[in-house]
Amino acid sequence: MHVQEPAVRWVLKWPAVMSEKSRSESDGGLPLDNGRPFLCLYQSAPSAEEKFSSIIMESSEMFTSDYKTKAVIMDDKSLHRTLSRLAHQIVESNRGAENLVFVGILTRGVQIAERLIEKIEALESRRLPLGMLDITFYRDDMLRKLKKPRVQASSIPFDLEGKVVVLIDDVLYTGRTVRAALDALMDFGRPDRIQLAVLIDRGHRELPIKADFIGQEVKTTAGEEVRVKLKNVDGEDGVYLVEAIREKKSNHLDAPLTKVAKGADPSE
Amino acid sequence: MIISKHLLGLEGVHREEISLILKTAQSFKEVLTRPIPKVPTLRGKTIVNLFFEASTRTRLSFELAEKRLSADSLNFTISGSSVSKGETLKDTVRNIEAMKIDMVVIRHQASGAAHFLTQCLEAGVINAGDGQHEHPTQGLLDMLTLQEKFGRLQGLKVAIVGDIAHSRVARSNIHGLMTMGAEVAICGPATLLPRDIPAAFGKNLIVFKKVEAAIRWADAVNVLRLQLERQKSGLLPSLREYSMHFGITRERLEEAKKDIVIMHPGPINRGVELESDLADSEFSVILDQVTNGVAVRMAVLFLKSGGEQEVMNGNGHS
Repeated sequence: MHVQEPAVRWVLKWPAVMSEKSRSESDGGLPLDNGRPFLCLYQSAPSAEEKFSSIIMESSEMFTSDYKTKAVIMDDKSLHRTLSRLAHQIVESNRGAENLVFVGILTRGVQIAERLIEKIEALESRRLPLGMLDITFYRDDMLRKLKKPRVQASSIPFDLEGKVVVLIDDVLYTGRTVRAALDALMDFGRPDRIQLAVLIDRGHRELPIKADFIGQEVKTTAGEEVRVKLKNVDGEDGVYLVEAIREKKSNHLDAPLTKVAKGADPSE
Repeated sequence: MIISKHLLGLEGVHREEISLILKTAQSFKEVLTRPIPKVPTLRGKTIVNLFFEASTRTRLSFELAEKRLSADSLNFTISGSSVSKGETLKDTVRNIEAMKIDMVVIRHQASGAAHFLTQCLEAGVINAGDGQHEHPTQGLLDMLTLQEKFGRLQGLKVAIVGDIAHSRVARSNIHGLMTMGAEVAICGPATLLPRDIPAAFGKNLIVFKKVEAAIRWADAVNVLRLQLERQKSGLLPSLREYSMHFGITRERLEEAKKDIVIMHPGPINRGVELESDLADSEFSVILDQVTNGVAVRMAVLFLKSGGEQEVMNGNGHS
């Protein structure tokens, strides 16, 4: 069964300059722009074009940063819609929320899990328990990395025995974070089943790991990064594709256009 | 922030680094409550524990911390080693390093032994007590215990009672607590106080001559172990007299703040520096200190592993 969707078209805006005022120093989030105009690639239904312009914030003082935004993957509205769909999918595939518990990977996985829990509460009138997982101690690059991450405390205040755990993260990339999270979860107990829900799957897996619920798949290159911004930590909702700037004089117009694919259930 | 690969003492360690160690230790405390209280963080790292001096708590605590982090640990104790054949400290450790180890934890009767090792080894060195100099992990675990109990260190009034002059625990506590913004006082017989206090610890260190005054002032009292050999060296008339003047008793606590906290680094001479009943009372956090010791040592080993390095602002997972 396939529902006909409105034709998707690419809207190119020039110049569209993003700025970010409310960046928190402590959360490790990276600034979005380098102070220069760049190409912004939108996914948009023809009639909704104007709405999207609202997310282009006014140009102001810029961060001097090594990242530039290449595309807006989700604005606040599409992020909300995607979260709603994920909530429905999780409840549908588990036939309710009876035995479910959510475990978010710190920091943004927890924020996404909280949003999903609210949406599921509206659907099922049942508030799912939420655990938080810091996977630092389980990383496999601990002995190779030059920088030490700051550790936050995990908290799984419920028994995992016999539960269906939905593990939640913002971006699925190499799969190494998920591998570490699976190891960590096993030290907390033996759940019946673990499912994985991610907001963005950006490909480039290095381990045989696959998400059960995906907000949106995004084709990316290795030099790019996906930045998920959430209101509680970043002051705004949105998902952006950013790229590290290596050569200062690179011509933005020559940069390859990145295809942003419509999110879909992996079973489709 | 750049952190050193060694931990030799708390003197001169930045507030930010101490905060980071305490915060990391809290994460490890959570790890220790899990059904499987072990993480694979230091898998493949080899840590050698060199104990040239008798120790129960510190050695077991380090050993447990290493096991909880999945590091391989080797234990060296002076009895039955080549030290009794006359091998020097430098030769001993250089031979051990030739076996490819990553970190050394050292307890030694000579002040400065840990610092000396940093000059002949590539490996990171963690001081587990050197003579009368410092015992930094004890200072850190005391701070963690206080922070948990009071929710802050800033402005907290901590009195350290006993043989200050010969105590590495006192020195680490004074430096660490003052860096963290606590008010610190010392109290003890004049023969057991350092000679030039302002030169050693700055002008902010308060000195109480009477233990009653220290108890009235303090939010927490850290009672040091009276090293029994001090009496032999003529610094004390008798243990009984020390106990009468400086022993912490229930009677003396009557004038204290109601939620006063009693700490002791162990081992306790019951009835000398601390009334036996008080060590097991509601005021005592002595066993919390021991629990926190493992978490603090895990944090130190974790943060100091992998050489000198920068600490990220975020948690950097992708």
